[in-house]
Amino acid sequence: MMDEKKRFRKFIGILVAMIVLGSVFVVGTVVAEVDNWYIIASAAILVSIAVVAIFVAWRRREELKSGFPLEDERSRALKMRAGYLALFVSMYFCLALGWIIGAFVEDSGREFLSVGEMMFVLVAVMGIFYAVILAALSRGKGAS
Amino acid sequence: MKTRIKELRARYDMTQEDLARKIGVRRETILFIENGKYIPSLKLAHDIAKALKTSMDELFIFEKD
Repeated sequence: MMDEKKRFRKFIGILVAMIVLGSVFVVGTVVAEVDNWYIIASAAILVSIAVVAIFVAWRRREELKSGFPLEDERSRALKMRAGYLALFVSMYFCLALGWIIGAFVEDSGREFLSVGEMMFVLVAVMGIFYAVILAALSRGKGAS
Repeated sequence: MKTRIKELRARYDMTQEDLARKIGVRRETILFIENGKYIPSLKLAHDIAKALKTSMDELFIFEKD
């Protein structure tokens, strides 16, 4: 049980660090007076992370109190499988996006996202893929 | 793969939560093993068998292809 408490504290530490770093990033975008798009997007991501973090931390605390571990072999296997699948899906997504931009956008003269904005979107998409795949695997026969 | 976990749990009047707590896993893990949707590691299978006072042979039934 002691190990679980340590693991929980470590988990809370990581969440707090993520939120603090996110806040620094948002403040940085405001100070640097970059495009509003970046400020809004980074603030939205920070708020979503904070909301999810509070919910997950509350749920894990409840589980810990009722004597269940935060993680076991099945949940570890699911996370690994979800990570591996999310990586591959994201790679194909990047290839498809690159092809679409090359074929339909670049020569047409239409405006598209800048490299920085594109990175932002791709990282967000990877995170979303991971969360969706993990949720789907958790309900099905995912880890076997 | 089929298991007799449910049957043995009932014999010892144990819920999925009781068994999960006893062997230190999450409740969903027991649920998925019982339904044949997750194949446990050798160590977990051994722990479950021990908690239900039986052997792995008795607990897990492997169907031939």
